[in-house]
Amino acid sequence: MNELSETQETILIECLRAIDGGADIDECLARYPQHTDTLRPYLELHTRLQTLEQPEPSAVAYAEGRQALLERIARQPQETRRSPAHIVGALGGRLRSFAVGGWMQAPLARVAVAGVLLFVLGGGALGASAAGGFQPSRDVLDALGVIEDPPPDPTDLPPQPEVDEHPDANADEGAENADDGIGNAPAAADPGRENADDHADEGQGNADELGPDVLPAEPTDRPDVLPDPTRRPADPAQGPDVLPAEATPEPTHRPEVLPAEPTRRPDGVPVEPNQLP
Amino acid sequence: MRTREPSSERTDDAEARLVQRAKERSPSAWAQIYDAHYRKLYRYCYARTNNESTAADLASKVYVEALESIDRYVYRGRPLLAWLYRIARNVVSDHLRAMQREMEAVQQAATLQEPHDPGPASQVGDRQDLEAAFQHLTEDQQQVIALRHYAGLTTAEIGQAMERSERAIYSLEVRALAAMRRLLVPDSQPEIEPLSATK
Repeated sequence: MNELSETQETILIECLRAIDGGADIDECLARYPQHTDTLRPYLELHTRLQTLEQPEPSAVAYAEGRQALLERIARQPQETRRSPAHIVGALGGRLRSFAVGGWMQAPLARVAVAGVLLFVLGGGALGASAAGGFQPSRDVLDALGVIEDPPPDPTDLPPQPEVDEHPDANADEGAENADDGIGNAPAAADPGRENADDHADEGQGNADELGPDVLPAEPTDRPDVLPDPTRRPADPAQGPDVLPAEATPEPTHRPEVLPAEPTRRPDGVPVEPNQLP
Repeated sequence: MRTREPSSERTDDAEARLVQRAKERSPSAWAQIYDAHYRKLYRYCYARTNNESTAADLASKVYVEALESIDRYVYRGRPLLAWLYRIARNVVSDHLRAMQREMEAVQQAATLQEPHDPGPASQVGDRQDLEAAFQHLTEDQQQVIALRHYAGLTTAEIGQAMERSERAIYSLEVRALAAMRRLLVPDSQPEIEPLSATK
């Protein structure tokens, strides 16, 4: 319990402010004569505390503490260098400078890296094509009698380096399929997976290059997000952006399920893009 | 809009540079910080613990803690000393809690203490009484009295250290003075005028 009233507290605070400003006790209390007797003991206690002789640290303790601190600082950089976080950070920095600020800046190096990537990706696609070369959706639909020949598209353009679908949808689909394909069979044995990966990039590129009105729109009622097996792997010689023109009418007949027997392709021969109608 | 004094900006710049060097583990920067503030931190720790060797240990520990946490410290124009006091407060509080856990009450430290440089005989009893009364204050009240009367900070500096307004610091001091007086002069209550008498 506080025995001072709020008013007295306020006056005491004013007095302390005045004393801090250089006034003495009597000077301050003279402004509040009716509270002088009450407040004087508190202000005297304040003065006693202020004039209390302060303890001095021993010189030994002072020097020891200083020395210990400086020794700790001297040890610290070594400890930091050895820490796993520091190692990871240093490694990341080196890799970054290696890739960004180092030899990757050289045009020849970039061309070499691009060539290696093209070889790896294109080789995989070609391998998949050679292994199966199938058109599962077409096979299934043929068997079901749904289609015999793809109807001519009135908006069909001469064979262009293009994809068969709405580029935006293709981009999404490619991305989705790429994600879904993670848990599927290995890429070399799964052309769908290859296509998915290819289309993921390709859709993005076409979205910028062609625009949505060039190609038929992607059917919006597709429940599946699986890779489109009707797409052929790109010919490495033509680059990953070039797709067979035949693929253009395909989207309107896309099956809702993947065929169970991809080996039912009749000819079993890899189809080169330039051989397609 | 409040404008800052040029000298204040210079001080801020100098302290900001000092903090930056401290972050870089510059020994000279840490030596500068140590030399500038050790005495105040020691006195603060002494006021809170009433023991010289404990105060020295805790003051050193404040710097170790500061070194460990300097990377997380962001200088925003407030005195570095305010940050050090916040560390000191935590260090002392941890110490006192540990003492309580070990059943070594703060009261025991007060009775076993050996006053440093006791000074004139007339002051010895006075000092011991004041320090005994100090130990009965609340933590915030102790903080204000220790920073103001032992470490020698201004109310503005204490406000920065405790993240309170200057007015709040004065209010805490007034309540601390009232509590100490109650302990030092047990029959002081009758001296207090009733509220009605002030009107």
